[in-house]
Amino acid sequence: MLLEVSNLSVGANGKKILTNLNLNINKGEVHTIMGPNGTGKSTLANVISGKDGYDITNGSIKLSSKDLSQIPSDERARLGIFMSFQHPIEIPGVSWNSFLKASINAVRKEQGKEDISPVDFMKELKEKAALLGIDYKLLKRDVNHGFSGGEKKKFEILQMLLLKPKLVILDEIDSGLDVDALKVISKNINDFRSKENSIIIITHYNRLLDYVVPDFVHIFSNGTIVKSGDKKLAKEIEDQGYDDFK
Amino acid sequence: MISNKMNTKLKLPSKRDEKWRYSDLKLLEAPDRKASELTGGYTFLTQDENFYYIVLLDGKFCKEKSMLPKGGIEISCSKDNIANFNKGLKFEGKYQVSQNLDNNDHVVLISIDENIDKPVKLVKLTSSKSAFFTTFLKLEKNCNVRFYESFIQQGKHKNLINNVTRINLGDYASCKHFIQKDFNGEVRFINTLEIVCNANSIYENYSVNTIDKSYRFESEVHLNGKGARTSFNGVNIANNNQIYDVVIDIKHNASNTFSKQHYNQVLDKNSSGSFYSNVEISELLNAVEAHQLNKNLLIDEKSVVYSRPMLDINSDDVICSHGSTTGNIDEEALNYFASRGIKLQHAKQLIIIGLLKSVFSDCKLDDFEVENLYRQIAHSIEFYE
Repeated sequence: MLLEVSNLSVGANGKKILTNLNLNINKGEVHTIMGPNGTGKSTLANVISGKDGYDITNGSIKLSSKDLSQIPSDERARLGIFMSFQHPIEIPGVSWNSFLKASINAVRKEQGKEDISPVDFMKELKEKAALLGIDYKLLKRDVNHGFSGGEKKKFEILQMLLLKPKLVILDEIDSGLDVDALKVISKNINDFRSKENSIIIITHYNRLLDYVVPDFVHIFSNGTIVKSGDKKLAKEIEDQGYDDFK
Repeated sequence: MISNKMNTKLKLPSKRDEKWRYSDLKLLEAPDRKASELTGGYTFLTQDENFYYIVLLDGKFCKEKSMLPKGGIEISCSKDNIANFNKGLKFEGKYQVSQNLDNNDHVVLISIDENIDKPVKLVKLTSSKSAFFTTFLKLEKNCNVRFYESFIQQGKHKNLINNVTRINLGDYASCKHFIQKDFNGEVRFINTLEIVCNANSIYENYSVNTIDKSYRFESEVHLNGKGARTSFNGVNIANNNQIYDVVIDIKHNASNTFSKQHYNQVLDKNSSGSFYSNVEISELLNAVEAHQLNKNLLIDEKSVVYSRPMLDINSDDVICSHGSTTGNIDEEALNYFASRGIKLQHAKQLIIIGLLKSVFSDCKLDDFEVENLYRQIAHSIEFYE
């Protein structure tokens, strides 16, 4: 088992957000979480990745049997958890080059490897950027600074490809994408998918799932999973909406 | 100004437009080493062949240690030459320069009348507890120079450096002016810069300020000729009860003139910084452009910053912008770094370096010049490791 979420209850600012949530993910599986706005999908992603500001009132999260409760977010990332942000932040002044190199080296250090050489870094960066159709000029710019929504999402996937995490959480990766960008991103997610990693896709729409077919679909309501199924469940939601689950 | 108050407390000169800068040499204590001993440890002075050197020891021109091209640069301490230089600038009513000319070897006039093939390093070396430098630089028509003004303090004692540099750029002349410092002890530094730009001349100033105990940088630029341009690009890094005051006055006195100021500051451990800038655009001018930007990052709760980018616009045909931001490191940015495995301290360092580097990132400099400025920043940020 790669990820084990057991009886998880989470609150923030005195408000209950997640209640007795259970979710088990094995290596090689792709899970999709769907649900109406404000039901706690992004909170689950944030809590797994270790973002501050949440109180875990009950339950546990384990990655490869290791309890994550006392592990800060940077260490979780080095252990192999990667979350793509719904709204990636702009960081003017910090170049992609220094940011990506710092992240890759942080992960490599955790794995007992040497820092990546500048030549290997540039080679891999260009190679992965080409897979996503990212213009080389964008690589010279600052982190997400002045990027369009689509470009930001492509750079989230670029980071996923470079960091090669064990567990990927894609929080609304499909929002703000045109059809062509959606296809490119989907192809890269599919190519990345392997028996060694697992992916959680949080989405409102079925359209991404036409390209990246999940093994499991979970419906979220009132801070917990109320129904699980396969790809057909997503189609059902698209046809009927969430009314039956509220 | 904060450093004014500090200087008053220390019974040092404190007001801006006083005569003491040029006349009251009693304030300056006698050097604690002989001038001849000063350059002993500085073998670099004659080693780097990529520069020409003009060396001033405790304010006086040192011909033996200087390395000048065969032609193009003339050094003078002559009373008449200096008086003529100042008369040409019409500054004489403002400061009492003439009073100082009896002791004229403390005032050095550098005249450049042709393009120099290498950058010129003006080394201002001191081991005194108080040092006084007055340098006038005259760039004739069409002359271009890269000018490194390096202040070097030998010894680890507390020090006051008072520097005045006055530059006159002839038509179509250009000057890239880098201010560098190498201090071992606690230095309180007052640096005054006065610039006159004639038609189509360009003056650019670059500095990374980090090791002064207190630094007051006062600059006044007169864009007198049509098409004249100036830019001031600097960063202040204070992390230990340091004080930085930046005061820049730019006067647009002709049409088609351009000015830009970009100063970013990072303040930590009870430090303070200020950016007081005033751009004045005279009446009846056309196509004038002026921009001011100051970004400040406060790392601790005790540090303070003052920012006042001010525009005084008296013509209609202008493009101007002024902006200032002050805040702590963005928590969301830190969270983004953490989500990619980067440790907090390293993340802070990258954000700070990013803010500071952005000052120079769009400057038209050679790669090695940018690298040199970046290296100074990186060196100063090591304490965040």
